[in-house]
Amino acid sequence: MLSIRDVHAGYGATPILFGVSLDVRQGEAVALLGRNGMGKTTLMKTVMGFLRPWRGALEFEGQPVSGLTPHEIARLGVGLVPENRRIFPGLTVRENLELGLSAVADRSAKLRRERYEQVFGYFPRLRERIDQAGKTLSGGEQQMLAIGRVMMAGARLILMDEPTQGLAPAMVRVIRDIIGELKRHGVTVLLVEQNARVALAICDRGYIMEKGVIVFEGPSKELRESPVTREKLGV
Amino acid sequence: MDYLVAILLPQLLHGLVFGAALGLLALGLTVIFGLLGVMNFAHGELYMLGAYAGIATIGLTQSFWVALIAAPLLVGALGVVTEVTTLRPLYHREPLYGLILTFGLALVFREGARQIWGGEIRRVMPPVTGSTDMLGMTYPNYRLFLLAISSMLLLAIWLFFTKTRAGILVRAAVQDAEMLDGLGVNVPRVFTFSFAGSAALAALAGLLLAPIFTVYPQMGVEMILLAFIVVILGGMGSMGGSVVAAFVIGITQSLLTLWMNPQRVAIAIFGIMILVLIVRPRGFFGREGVLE
Repeated sequence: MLSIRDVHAGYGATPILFGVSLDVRQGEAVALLGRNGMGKTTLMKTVMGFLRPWRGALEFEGQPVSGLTPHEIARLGVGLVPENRRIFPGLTVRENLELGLSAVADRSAKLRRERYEQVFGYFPRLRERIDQAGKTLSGGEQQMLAIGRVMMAGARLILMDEPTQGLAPAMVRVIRDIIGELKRHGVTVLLVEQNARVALAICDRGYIMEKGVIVFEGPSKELRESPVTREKLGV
Repeated sequence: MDYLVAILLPQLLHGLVFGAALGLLALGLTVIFGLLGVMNFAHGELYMLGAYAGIATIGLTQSFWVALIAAPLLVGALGVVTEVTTLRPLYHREPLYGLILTFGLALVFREGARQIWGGEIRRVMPPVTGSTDMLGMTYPNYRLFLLAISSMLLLAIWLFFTKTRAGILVRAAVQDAEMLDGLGVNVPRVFTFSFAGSAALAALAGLLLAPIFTVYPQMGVEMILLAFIVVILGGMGSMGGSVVAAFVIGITQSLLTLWMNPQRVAIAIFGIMILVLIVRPRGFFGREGVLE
């Protein structure tokens, strides 16, 4: 579904990614692990179109997407739950969710109702907070909102960048269950995580990234038991 | 009591009228500041062009009312062209480039107006004449009309930003444009639309104030200084703050002219700004981190 081939990218003149190749198949949940500053977030931003790859190829469902703008990529069915959530703090929960619908061409009343029901089914807390400003939500609620936003878009591939960062253990469990639930509904997930234990418990496969390249890959079970994981991630 | 009714009250109303018109100018400025991260130095010239576009339309049609529709449309269209051809290529650069660009645009517009219309002072006849007896004084009808239409416009803008999808898109773009693009919104188009809207509002303010003030190529320079102060006082990027600050500055300026000459009033306004910034460095409603 998503194919990344030998991608080089960076900020300004500073290279961060040195030829990353990675595949995500339809219906899979794939973990992208690695320590801080290894290029995981840069890779997510490149896939979403926030950064233009310097070299290499990006394909989504067989269509080349390198060079497309973020809104064009979003309209193809890619959704980003970014690092630090990046919800719109001055907008209400309803307005934030409404913006999630932007990637959808058909914004009929029927579709809107269905999507809201779906989001509230997963996150009843958002229904209670519907008219509150985003900035008044707790960290966990903001994360729910960031995930709800891509659910409104009906994204078929969701890129999640550290969704459990800074959350209490109970909230980490909620987010973990949601990812499992999304997967059961056929959504494909590429998950960046510091917390390898959580990531490997949900995902089918995983990649380990170090200094801008993929250094190890395998099924979750293998990664859990491999000494390489311990060495590269220090877990 | 006579002093109150004969002098203080009309001056207070003058301030209210001026504040409402200043609010129209400052709102556009603050939205563009939120999007670009820089003050639009050409905003005062868009205000000036609004007055000239109005005069040109009145010359053709003999109607102030037609001009009130045509001027914002013409200047808004100029805003679209300006944004697409000059500002858009600079979005990925540092904000400083935008600052220098808008400064250059201001010069181009000002000198362009001087070339086309000449440098002499022009006047626009108020479309509403006469005056009304109220609260024991007589007050010009055009100023009452100005207060009514400015307030209605401010209300309409507020409804636009809170109730319409387009308004929510603009607010979201001010907060995090990149993320909004990642949600599937054509953000460059939102920028163009916002710049055009801001230009149209400035033009509207220019034409509405023309019957009270005079029209000349430099007219934007004084106003833009006041509008900058309003935006800073309101808390850079805060729309509600800008409207509140516009009324505060409008009324303060109007009352101070009772006791001081205009130069001293200008100094006093700056003094007030400095005092407010010492006490509240982010202005009335400034958010944390707007300037970072």
